[in-house]
Amino acid sequence: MIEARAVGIRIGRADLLTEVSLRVARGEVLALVGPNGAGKSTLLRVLSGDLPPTTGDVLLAERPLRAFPPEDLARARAVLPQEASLRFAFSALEVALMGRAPHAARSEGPDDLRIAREALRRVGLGAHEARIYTTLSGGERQRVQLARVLAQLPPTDTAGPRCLLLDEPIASQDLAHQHRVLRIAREEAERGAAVILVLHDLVLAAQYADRIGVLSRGHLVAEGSPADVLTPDLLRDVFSVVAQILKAPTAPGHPLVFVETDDI
Amino acid sequence: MTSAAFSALAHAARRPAGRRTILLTLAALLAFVTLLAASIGAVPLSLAQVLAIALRPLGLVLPVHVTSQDVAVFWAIRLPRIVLGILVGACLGASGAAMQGLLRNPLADPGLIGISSGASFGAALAILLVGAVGTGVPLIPVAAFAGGLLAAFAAFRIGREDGHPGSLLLAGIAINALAFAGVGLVIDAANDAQLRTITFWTLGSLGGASWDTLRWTAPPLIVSVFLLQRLARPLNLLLLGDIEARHLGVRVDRVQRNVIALAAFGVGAAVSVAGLISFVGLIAPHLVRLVVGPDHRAVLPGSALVGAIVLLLADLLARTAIAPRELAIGILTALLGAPFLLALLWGGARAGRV
Repeated sequence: MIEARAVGIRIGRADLLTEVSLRVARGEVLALVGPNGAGKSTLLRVLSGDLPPTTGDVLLAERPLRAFPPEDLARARAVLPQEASLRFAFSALEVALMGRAPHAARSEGPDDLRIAREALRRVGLGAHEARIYTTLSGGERQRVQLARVLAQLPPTDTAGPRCLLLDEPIASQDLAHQHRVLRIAREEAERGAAVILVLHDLVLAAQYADRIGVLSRGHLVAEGSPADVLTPDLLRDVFSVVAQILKAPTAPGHPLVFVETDDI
Repeated sequence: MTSAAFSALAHAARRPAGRRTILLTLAALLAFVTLLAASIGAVPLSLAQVLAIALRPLGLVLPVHVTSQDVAVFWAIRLPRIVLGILVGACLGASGAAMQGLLRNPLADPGLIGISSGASFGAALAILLVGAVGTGVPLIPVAAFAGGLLAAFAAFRIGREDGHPGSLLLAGIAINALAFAGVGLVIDAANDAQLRTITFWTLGSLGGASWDTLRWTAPPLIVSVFLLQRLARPLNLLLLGDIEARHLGVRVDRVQRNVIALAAFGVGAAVSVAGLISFVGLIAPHLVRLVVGPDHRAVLPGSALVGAIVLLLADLLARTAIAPRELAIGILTALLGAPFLLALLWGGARAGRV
């Protein structure tokens, strides 16, 4: 569905990304992890089409991203950026409805309203549609933006590409909402989307992602199933921590990470 | 009104049906202010007389006594001035709303990106040169129009280099400073008569209104107001941020270019015929947003209507307050607009906003 082929980003004399190749199919969730400044957000920007790669190519449904007119791209993939800067007093519902803009030719109809309301309900803000965005808490704002992004996704029965890119979607969320948001990512994959998300929490990444990609200094240094990728060696090399990998007693498939020390 | 009732009212105003009601109310208010402006003046006309004169060409003869002088005053003096006031006010209001949306800055105004100051410099230079050469060409408005477009274009080209809306503002501030320095130099070289013309012009006036001036200023004003309305949806999405708007399929560069071109086109025409009229472009969108919320599908037409109403009222005051002399309309809009803005900031600061 979405594929990066030997993507490189060079700004000035700095290589932000080098030869990154990955592929996420319909129904899959890939979590990108890595230390601060490793290039996770840069990679997401390349995959979303914001940043044209210096070398290599990004393909969506086997078609280069740059060949998509902006309107078509907006109907095929939705992106949640890390920080939102909205400072105007729209209601939560009005913000969620903006996600329908690529699909509604002139003005939004009853279907769009239904989809936007459903998206707000899924992020746990169904009862808050009339609240003014600027008066919401940071976590609530982030979930309103997520609702907007969910409303933007094409219908599940679409034949075309359906891709969801989330940059640190749980950065401002409490424990319950972290799981709620990640469950939504999982659901979207089950409904036929290719999902890529940037996460810092390795345990949550292991629990919700099919595969984990580890970025370090612009290189994709490991990529595979959580159990294969999360090893003490990798955590030492990439994050400079001494860690044990444990297994959850009731869910042995999910590795847990216990950090002993970062003093190495 | 209790705050609960107020917030219920505010919420109703944000629904599409509520917005329509408010826009219709504003249109009705504009119609009423228009009648008022047509009736008040050195030759007073009653509202009935105004209606009788206005409806006669449509074949409707009302049983009201009007003299031929009344008819002449209405058609030759009052109506062109009213039409100009409506068009200039609507253009300033709509351009202000669009610029605030584009820059995501509720304090932006078409003047901020150099349109008005560029136009001032053009006009001042023309006044100096026309004074020296003494030709009869309408060189002043043409020079103002060109100056405004040139300044906006320069601010846009330079300020957009790094794609950040803040840079556009900074470029606008620099262009403004340059243009006002230019005006200063011209004033230094001007003689007394030229100086008076420049001063009066920089304070703004609708006194130059006539069917002749409308013939070439109305088209750009109308085009700008109507084409700006079509950008309401992309402007809404731009409020999310440039990147978010791009993710939603907005061609951000094209929208930016179109908004600035239309604002410069319209405001350039407005300044060229009416001089500098401050605060209308800043205040009208604020007033509208307070009632209908930030959706540009309501803010753009609402700001055009409120801009027209405010300018008509200010002009009415300008030509009657110290009659038979006229006050400069720019003085009035600043006198009314500045305290309003300060009150807004004060209220906002106390409510924890701004």
